[in-house]
Amino acid sequence: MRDLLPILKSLKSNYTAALLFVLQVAITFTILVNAIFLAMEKQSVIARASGLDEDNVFYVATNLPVSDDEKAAQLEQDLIKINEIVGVKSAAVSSGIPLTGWGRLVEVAVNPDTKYDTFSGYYGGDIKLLNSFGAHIVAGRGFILGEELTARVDGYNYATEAIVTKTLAHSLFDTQWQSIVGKTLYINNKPQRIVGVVDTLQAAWPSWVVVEHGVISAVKETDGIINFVVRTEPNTQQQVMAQTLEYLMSVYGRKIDKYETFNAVKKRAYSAENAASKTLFGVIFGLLMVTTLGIYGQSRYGIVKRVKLIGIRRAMGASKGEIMRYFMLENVILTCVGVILGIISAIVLSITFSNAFELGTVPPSYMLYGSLCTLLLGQVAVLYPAFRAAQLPPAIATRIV
Amino acid sequence: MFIYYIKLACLSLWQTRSLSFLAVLIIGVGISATMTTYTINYMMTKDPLPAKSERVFLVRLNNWSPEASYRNRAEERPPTYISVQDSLNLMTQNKAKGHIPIAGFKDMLKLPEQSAIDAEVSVVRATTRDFFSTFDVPFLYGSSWPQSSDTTGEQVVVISKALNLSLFSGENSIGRTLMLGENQFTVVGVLDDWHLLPRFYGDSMRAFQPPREIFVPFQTQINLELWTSNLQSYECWKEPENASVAALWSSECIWVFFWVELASADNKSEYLDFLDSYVREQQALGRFQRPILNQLQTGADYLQERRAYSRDSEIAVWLAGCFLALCLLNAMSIIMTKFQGKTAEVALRRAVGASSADLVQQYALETGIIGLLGGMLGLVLTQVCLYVSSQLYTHLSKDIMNMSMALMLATVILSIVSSLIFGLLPILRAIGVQPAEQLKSL
Amino acid sequence: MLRMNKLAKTYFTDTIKTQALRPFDLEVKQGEFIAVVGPSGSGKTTFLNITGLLEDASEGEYWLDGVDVCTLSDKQKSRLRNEKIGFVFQSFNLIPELNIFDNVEMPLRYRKLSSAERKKRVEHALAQVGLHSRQTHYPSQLSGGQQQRVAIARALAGSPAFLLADEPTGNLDSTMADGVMSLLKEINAAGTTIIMVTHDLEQATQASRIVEVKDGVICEVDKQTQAIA
Repeated sequence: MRDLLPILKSLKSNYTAALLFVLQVAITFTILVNAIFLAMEKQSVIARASGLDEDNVFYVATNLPVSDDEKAAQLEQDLIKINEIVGVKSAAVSSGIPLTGWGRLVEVAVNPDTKYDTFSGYYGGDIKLLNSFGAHIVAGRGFILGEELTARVDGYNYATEAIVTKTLAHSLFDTQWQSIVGKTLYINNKPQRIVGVVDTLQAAWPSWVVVEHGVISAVKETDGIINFVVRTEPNTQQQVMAQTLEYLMSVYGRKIDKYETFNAVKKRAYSAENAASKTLFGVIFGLLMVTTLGIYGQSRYGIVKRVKLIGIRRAMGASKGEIMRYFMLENVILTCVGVILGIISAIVLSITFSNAFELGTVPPSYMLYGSLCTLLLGQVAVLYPAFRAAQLPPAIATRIV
Repeated sequence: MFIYYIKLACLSLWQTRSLSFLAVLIIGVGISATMTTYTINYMMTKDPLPAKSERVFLVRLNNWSPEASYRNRAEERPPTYISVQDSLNLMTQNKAKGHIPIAGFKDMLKLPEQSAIDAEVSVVRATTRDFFSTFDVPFLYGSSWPQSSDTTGEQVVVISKALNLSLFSGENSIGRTLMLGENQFTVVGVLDDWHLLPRFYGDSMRAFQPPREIFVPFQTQINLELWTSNLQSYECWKEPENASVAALWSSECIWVFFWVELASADNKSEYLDFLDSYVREQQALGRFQRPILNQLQTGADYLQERRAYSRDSEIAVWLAGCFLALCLLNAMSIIMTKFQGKTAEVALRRAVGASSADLVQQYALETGIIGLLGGMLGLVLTQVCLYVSSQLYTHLSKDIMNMSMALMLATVILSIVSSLIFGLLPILRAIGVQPAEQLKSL
Repeated sequence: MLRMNKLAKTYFTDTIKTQALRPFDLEVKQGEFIAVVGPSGSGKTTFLNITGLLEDASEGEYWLDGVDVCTLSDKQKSRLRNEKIGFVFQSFNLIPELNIFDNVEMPLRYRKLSSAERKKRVEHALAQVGLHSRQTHYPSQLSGGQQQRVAIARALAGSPAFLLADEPTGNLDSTMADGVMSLLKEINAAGTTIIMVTHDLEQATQASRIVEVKDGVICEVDKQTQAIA
């Protein structure tokens, strides 16, 4: 620390270069902290649980190629056949698939006279649907056989029982969400008894505010294009999918509209977030590169400029270690000033962003880790130049005139 | 003198080539980051129809249940789409220059001679001939279908250049036929390359994806009762009378985005008056039991309301801007280092009579060349970054990743100007040296 | 206190081997004032560097206060430089960003001394060179002669065993040079050993012994002979 004062004094007299350095550190810190925060936010969105057994679920969107009055029977037969395929854990029909961007929403109310309290995603299917998704019941029970109905469209208008997601229960009943079991819910003013609560089951739109709200009812729909949801034993998805398609295509008039694994659905649903976080990581990488290069370059040439000073110090008895320490300490001081400035501007930028773009603000822990990283970065960048400085022969003191 | 300065500048750049290269590299990286994000953001938010954006409108009618406002909004706003019957009525009344319903369906597409196995699911856009004229869609072969096809619902089709390539190997396919499901359609037009960005006219979630490849008259979809339930959003406050498609057509279910092109922006209030009188007419027939909230909305406003513009790209521009500032600061300190090695040369030049203005010119030229090289490197890097982005942003149309000539020029100018501004301090510092003091130490 | 046996320095470049200093013996006793003379390029600076531990000799022995410095590590040599040797350079080599006090204090900062002790020593050293009142000035505010006095104060502040002066008057006019010379003689009279490189024969004669370096050969010169020559 004995170099502290001389360093400060020599910085004072060469303030332009020092100021540039400090500004660079401050900007680096500002971008670094905000970019990492944004990237982490994206990652946390991507990492959200869908509520499905993601690795083992796929779906097939297809038609029921028979006349209207035979559709229920055809559906029944399809379900039996698909469930018989070896490797199928559970197969069901569903009115929609989470995160596909296409699905239903319903207005949910807890009282018959209020039109609605909140919106929710909706899935209607047979009693095996929850098991086929791989959703977990956390209160109450699943549907039982007698509760299953068939409708042409809009099954929620016919349902008498419903299962809701925990988040929806929470929105409706706050902390007493578990007591929702047995209560009545109103969808389009029609009462439905809640028999169970599932942990998570996301709605069809990943960026929807209430994507975690879900209502499931035991009503199969037969009109238009229907979705078969198939959950397989681990590692059998490919062959089960092939067999399912083979069976479906064996029915005359069948059109396969789409088939996709749930992992593919999820990847597509979050492609924007994925791309954005990759871009942000790219920015962070570029930033670190440029700053490291910059600090390295400036230190290197700063040292070339001060060869004479190093020579004098060496002649006066400074050891190699002391010369190295001098430059590293100088770097620490400048970086610290930069980081302090950076913390201020990072907070300003974060608040600006959160006001302008409806984002959260960067938590203090990011500032702490960001500071440590920036200091480390500075030290790494200055290490080699400082080492080279220490290697300068002391005899230069007498050579330079 | 200018040539002499250029010679000096080049000589000096070569003498300090590693530093100069570093400065050029860093400026290039900063410029490319900024221009990549700016290009993406610019392409996503630009006005897709600059000449017409003030007279092409989305028609919004407040068709919803008498009991509740649409989506229970506290501040009532009409839905973004309208029913089939209203679309047909507005076209019949014919009060606008162009009427563009945006509808469509999915069906199996194949050539008549192909077997059913080769058919592929295709998404068809159903609209009117006004679609092509209003949105300035270029044709490679043929043209849009005639007015009569819109009125009678003929089985004619316009296909994209890409589809023409895959179906008819790129030949002039006018008059050829193709099958959509059970129905045979005749090709009347083939589009040239066409990128409308943002593609504002349909579902806002797909505003940055390429347009569909097949276009048929709206009336044809209506006549043939082609309906795909899971293709577009549709909302019904009242159930159709029965399960048939015909019942859906005559129901209050809303799903058709309906655009009009007016002759001029001045006709807007006139057309709104017409819409009001139309709704009043319908109210007399027992429909539209809610307050009249007719609205004519521009594409940009519609996308804004639907939050189609990604804020991410805007944030990225801000971050990249900060990054550029960082890079320029970095380059500035490098240039400063460069010039610090020149105090002796400056002193000598001043001693032989160069004015400080001469020296500023000389060094500004040198810095300008660094900026120019940085800008050109930035341009190359931007193209690389845009290519990488187009691989990364699979959910966006590749056309977003295209840079216009104006943007390219702007890149180079931005680089030179910012290098000069940031190079000014080092230049003035370099010039600021006192001749006497420095010569003494020579 | 300073003894050199068969000390020599050879430089190797890519192709050429240069014998900068041929083997020589030299002994310096406490309190002597030695002048090193010779034309430029003769090896004076190399001799100075080796004596000042700024460079290693290629062969031979160098005993400083009973320590064979050839066996020391860089760190130990730095320590030795700091404690035993005071440097005075032709171009003063003051640090322009630091004021006079800080410049003089610099070598002391590499020792474990309290700040009060450092202050005492700096003030004492500055008093010795007569610049006590200029502590807060910066080098650029002083004349060349005054700057060299500061450099001497810096060399003295560490109470070294000997001073190594490399053409201390080379950058000064004759009036200032005389001032610096008499200051050095005063210091020598007070007991500090001085080794001074110079090309000024008149100055050299003021020393107690003269050593001549010529084409890498070091030999002692009889003061009387020299004076006659």
